[in-house]
Amino acid sequence: MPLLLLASALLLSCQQAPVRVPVAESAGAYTPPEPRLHRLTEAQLRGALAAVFDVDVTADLPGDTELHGYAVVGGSELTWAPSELEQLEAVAWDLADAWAPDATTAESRLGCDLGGDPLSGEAGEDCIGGFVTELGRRAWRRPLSGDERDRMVDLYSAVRGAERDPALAVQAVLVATVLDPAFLYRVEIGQADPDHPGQRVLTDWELATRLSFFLVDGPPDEALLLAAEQGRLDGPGLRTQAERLLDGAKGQEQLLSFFEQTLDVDRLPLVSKDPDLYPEWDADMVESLRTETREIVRAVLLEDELGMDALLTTDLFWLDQNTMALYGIEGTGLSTGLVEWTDHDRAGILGRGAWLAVNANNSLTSPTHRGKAVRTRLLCQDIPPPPPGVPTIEETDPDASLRDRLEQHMTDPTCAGCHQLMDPIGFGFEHMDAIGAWRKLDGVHPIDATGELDGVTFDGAGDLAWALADHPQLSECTTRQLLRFAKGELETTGEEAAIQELSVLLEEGGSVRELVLEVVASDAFRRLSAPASGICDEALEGRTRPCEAACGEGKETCVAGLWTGCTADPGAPESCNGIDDDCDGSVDQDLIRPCQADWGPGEQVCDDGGWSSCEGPLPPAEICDGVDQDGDGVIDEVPAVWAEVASTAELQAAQPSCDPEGAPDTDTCASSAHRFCNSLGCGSVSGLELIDPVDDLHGLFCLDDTAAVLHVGSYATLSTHHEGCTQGSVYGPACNAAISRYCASIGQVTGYGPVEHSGDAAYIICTPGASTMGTTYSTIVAYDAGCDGSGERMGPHCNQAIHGFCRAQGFATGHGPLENSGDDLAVACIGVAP
Amino acid sequence: MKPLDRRTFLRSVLGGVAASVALPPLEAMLGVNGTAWAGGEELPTRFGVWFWGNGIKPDRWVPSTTGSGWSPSVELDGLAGLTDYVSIASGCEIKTATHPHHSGMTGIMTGRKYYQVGTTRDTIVSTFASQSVDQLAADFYSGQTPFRSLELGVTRFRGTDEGTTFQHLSHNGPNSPNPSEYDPVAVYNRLFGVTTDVRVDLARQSVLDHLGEQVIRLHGRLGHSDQVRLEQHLDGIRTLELQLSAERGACGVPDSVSSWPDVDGQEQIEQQNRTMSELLALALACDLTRAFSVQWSTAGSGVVVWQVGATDSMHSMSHNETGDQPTCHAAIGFAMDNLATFLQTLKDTPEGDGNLLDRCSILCTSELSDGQVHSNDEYPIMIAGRGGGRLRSGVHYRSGSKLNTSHAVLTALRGGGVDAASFGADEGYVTSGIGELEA
Repeated sequence: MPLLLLASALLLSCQQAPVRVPVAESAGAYTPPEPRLHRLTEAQLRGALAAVFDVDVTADLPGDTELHGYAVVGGSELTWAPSELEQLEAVAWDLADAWAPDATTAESRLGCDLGGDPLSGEAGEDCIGGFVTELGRRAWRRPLSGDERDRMVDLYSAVRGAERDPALAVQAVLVATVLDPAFLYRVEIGQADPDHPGQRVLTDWELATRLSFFLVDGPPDEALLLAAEQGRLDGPGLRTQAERLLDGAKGQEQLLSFFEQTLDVDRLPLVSKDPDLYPEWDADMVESLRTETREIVRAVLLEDELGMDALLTTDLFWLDQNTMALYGIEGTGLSTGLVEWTDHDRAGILGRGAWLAVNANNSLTSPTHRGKAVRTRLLCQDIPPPPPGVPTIEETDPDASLRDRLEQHMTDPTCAGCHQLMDPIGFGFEHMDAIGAWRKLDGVHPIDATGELDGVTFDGAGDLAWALADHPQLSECTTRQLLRFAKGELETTGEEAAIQELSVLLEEGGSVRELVLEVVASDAFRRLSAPASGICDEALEGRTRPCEAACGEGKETCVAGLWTGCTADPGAPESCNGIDDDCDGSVDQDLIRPCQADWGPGEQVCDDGGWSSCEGPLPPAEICDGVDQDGDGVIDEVPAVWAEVASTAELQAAQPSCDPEGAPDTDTCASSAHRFCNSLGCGSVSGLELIDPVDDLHGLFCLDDTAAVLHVGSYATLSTHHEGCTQGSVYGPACNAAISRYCASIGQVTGYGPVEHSGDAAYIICTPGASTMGTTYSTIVAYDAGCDGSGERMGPHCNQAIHGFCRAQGFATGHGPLENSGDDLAVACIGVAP
Repeated sequence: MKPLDRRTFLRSVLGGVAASVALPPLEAMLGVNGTAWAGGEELPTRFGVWFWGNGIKPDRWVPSTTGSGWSPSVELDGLAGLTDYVSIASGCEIKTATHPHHSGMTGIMTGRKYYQVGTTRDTIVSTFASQSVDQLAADFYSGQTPFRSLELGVTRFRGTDEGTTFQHLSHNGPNSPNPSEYDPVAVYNRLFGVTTDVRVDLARQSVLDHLGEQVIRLHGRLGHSDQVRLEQHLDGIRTLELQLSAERGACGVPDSVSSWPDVDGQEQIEQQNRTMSELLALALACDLTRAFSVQWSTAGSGVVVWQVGATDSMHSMSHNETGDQPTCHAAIGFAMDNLATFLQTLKDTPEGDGNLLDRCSILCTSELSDGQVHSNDEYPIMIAGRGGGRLRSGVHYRSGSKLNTSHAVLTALRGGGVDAASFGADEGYVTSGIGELEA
């Protein structure tokens, strides 16, 4: 399970929000989403207007707002702004005026007589009625209801009657048709599914519309409308239509567009580069790179019908003078166009100029952007933004390589968590500069293109491409992105099961083309959940009934088989304002938000309309080294007993015979600890045993002159306090007891040592501020499993256990055992826990 | 001599001029007191937002002197000739901040936290929780001018993966942005290219009535979130109806304008800014709108300010430039110079006994303070113009206690004559402005 382990490590470090780890999620049963209105994109609108007016529409149209990577997804969340409706209205009147400039032209277009006498309001209504029916089917992609038809004819009559101008009235009908929500949005209401209560399925008309906008980015053509009308969009009929659209020129174009958007290379025409550094970057180069991406995607995915893994490792290049110069490909006799060319470092579509240039800055490369693009676009793993108020760059050596500078930034734990997800991937592309040309050096620095992708190490973009092609989340992500693009909306959690099921196809080596057909045929493509409060009997059409929402009661109406338009107040998501926004009976409950505390990310909770202060990590403890660790403006203000860290080298410098990594609890290491602390300053007198080892670093507590008193004693004296503490025993339980009793005898409570000894002389440390406590091995073993009293009774594990025990009592640390007998032991606890 | 009406005046002055707007004061057009047109109507007060992305270098932006007659800092040097028309509120803080760029953008424009429409992704794709401050003003002025509000853009970079907050300035509500127009020709055509025909206008009215009813019929068949979207759509139709019925025709048509395509892949920012400034001054002078917003660059913008020697995008530079960030600093100064161009254009446009800037209140701000650290305190806020006498201009107010930025926004909004009781919500909620900046 290496992937899971890795994932949990990432979750801990990337603190603001977890990265998506679908393998760890268990997808519940498939639940379709509620319907959404889909605002047409600029291209879709252009195509739909062209279908109504039968002209190329060249006017400016409202632009797209891309959300979640696709303009079509933006369309499922945005509405039309007033200024956009104004623009559409002007365009619609212009088109209508050109279509029916006068009565004669209008009649010839309509193919019927609008009434010879312009003063007559009645004449021509049959003619306009037929026109409205035919127009509605084409523009709204479904038959009009009788009521809709009548209202449109009424509009015609009203304008014609008032203005005595049949052409203007026809124009009004056209404008009303293309400004109607039924034209400007894909409207999907569906019909009840008797087999699945609560679920609805798209009508054939809605399905044809969804299919067409997905596969050809435009409204359904006559053949598709006819198939919908005749109910031929089930099973093989649907597949026939889908293949027909997909394999046509527009279908191929649309699939290319999907991959351009997924790889983000659709932004290529907007990318500018530093003209001094990259004089070759011009519109011509952009066009070459755009063509290259499209030709490679076309060859691999559409013609060879391979999968994403093949696209990411392909040997195909598209050569012209621009790309050959960019890639340093030379040779006579090379043909232009698609060529197989082996260059391991440029394997796959990510090794081509388009992707590399889009995901770089104007003059510099950007390992962060390239790494982020791989994570978010190809693996569907999200990277949360950094918290505010955090320096995004530490002062680094501006002459260092970009990699070194980024790695220095990653020393800040607040940033490192997320940047470690991105930068190491991006480093793999460092041989490719900001426009994708090969470089040996970054300035004067040799390039280091080694890195790691979720446990797989690589050196350079070629290895990385193959690692990516093998990545377990690649198939699922491609499927997820295609479904977003196909439906034009972000998936809901209820659709997770459908995504997992569809992902199998690519995982098992299926082609992207087959995936498109599979998506189209899937439940996920045609099912909806009933909105609002559900389904009503058609017999109740137009009736109302009481309904309730979170914050009140109201009425809802049965419309087309759905209880809709409940007027009750649904409330709002709870926000920190002292009000029960969601009407669940509690105010501001469970509201927690991230915040930036002094020493790292913290949390605030909402309490009665206000946010609590930001609770975050404690400041780093001050140590005695001339640096202000806790940032309070005072240097080295250590308490009487404080934690330090010493390296093996430092401990051996203090006492060469100490082997802290092999035998930390010895007389020589006691001497090391003592000397290390003693030499620090800060009033330090001595140090306690080594604990908390990490590699070659060792924790220890130093004691200042209020906590420790040094005595020059002798084994002769000590042995009178406890027998067996002799020059031969040196360091052990007998001397522990002897020293403790000696210190107690002179009113200094307890002590430890010897910290130095020579012949009969022994330096011991009394700790007059310590508290002696009785406990048992079976208690303290909880703090270190190696100190269970049956094996070790004194030693490194017991030092660790005593430390943990004292810590739990609110002390900084402890030492001992002072005495021990059976399961019982006495320990000394000292200092105050930070 | 018979007083000239406003239409005659503007036609004669603007008829042949578009590139520079220098309207001479013309006593005959004014009523006796100089604050109303000869027709008797009060001169309007306007509210606008002028926004640039990626913040400031606070140590070089905040002026060192406070009170009246502040001296420009290095980054505000371009505003030296305008200090008596510009007030500064420094030392303020966004109180609703949790994330870089997003929080500041929505905090300053709505006084609220950013909003996320239900998402299944683990990242921030944000939008505004409510209408932005320029739209609060547009609501207040609604129906008095042909255009409810104008939204103009100068530099074209738009982020794509972090929601509408990174793409649009003006919003009507969640995911309902009013996109900025970046093409001066399109702005010109929209403002001045309309030919009116009473017959067509009546037909338009009939169509709009019909569409309103169509929207309401569909509304009842949708789920709640789509109903909200369709209500915004309906608001748009009502705006068109108001536009149709609004008095129009105070203006003659100036010469056409041209667009400013890139030269060697580089945006012609100063030229674009100047043309947009002139078009906006014309629109205000002609009373075509009273609410506006200018997005000089977006939140987190990737604009490359090559004019100051920048070779990387503003956002990238704000994080990657080492040392004192001299190029970033210069680019901020460049943005402020562009702001000065805009304000000077308004000041050079006479109106009544003064100029347009006398009767505007313009909130000039960004989506964070120091882009390098994403800070939300020491927030950059200027209020330009005198709001028709509602504002004390030319004052540097400095908060010593991290005042809620919403107080400054409310000051600017009220400076535009907008009768607003409060601004913002939750921690961003305020009911009072900054007394030192109010007349």
